[in-house]
Amino acid sequence: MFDLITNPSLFRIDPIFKIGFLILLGVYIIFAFMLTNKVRSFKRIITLSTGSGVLFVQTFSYIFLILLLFLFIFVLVIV
Amino acid sequence: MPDIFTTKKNNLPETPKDTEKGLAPVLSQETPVQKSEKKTNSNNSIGFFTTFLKNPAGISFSQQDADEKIVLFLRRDFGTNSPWIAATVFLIIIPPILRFIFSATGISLPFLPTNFVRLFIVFYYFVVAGFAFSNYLTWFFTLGLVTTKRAVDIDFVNVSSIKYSAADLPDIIDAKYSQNGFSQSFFDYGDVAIAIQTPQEKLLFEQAPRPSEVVNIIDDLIGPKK
Repeated sequence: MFDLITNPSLFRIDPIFKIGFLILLGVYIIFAFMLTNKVRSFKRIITLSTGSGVLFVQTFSYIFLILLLFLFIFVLVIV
Repeated sequence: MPDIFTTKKNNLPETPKDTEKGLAPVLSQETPVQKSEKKTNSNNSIGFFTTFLKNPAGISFSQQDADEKIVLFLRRDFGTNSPWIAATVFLIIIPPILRFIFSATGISLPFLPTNFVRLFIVFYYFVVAGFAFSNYLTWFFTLGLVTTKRAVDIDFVNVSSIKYSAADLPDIIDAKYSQNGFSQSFFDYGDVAIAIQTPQEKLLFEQAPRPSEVVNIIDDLIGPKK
């Protein structure tokens, strides 16, 4: 993290790799988005109590998506 | 001192006067039956890894009627998750193993920049987490429900499809189960097939735990065979 602030060039990679990586990440973000949507659509069919783990599942799906978006922005801007 | 054990005349409801005397807390205590029901409900709540539960509490589905009660909650037996759990563990330990092999043999991948490898490893672990999570979701959301009015089968096939099937109890002709192979017999799980009146249609609770008990419950609900 300190390296990132003082010398962001340490994280730089070739543009070809960067584009390839962004495409990979983009595809995976779509997958994560579908997963999140699926959890939401399932909640419309079945209502489970909080202790059943449904809250964990939903929270995890959102955190997963947000972290992937964060990685995408990181690669796009910094790398 | 008030006599709390005296039967009230004509079963009249509590008066404010009684409340003032401190009777209300005594009378509002739960009866043993209520306590027992409450205990049953707390024991019957669905957990993270619940696969078989009779009279589950804290669950409802969109098409449930007001007077409809869920009798049985089913998921695939947890043992059926072992292949993807083993695969996830294997995938997690691959990068350290590869790193160890590369450093021990002196092999390097010069065409891949170090920064790219670092980022790729981060991405790789995201993929592994996604793989495990999607498998867990498939197990978590693939449910079988038996209610006092119908049998419901919800299949979370993959990320892009959900299959919802239901059959009313009067339409159910028969329920059968099959256990094939060592693991199904050893861990007591199997496929429960519910035949319904529509030809070539049936409901299938795949790899359900305690299949004989499931069939018994369905048989009890549908009554004598037609």
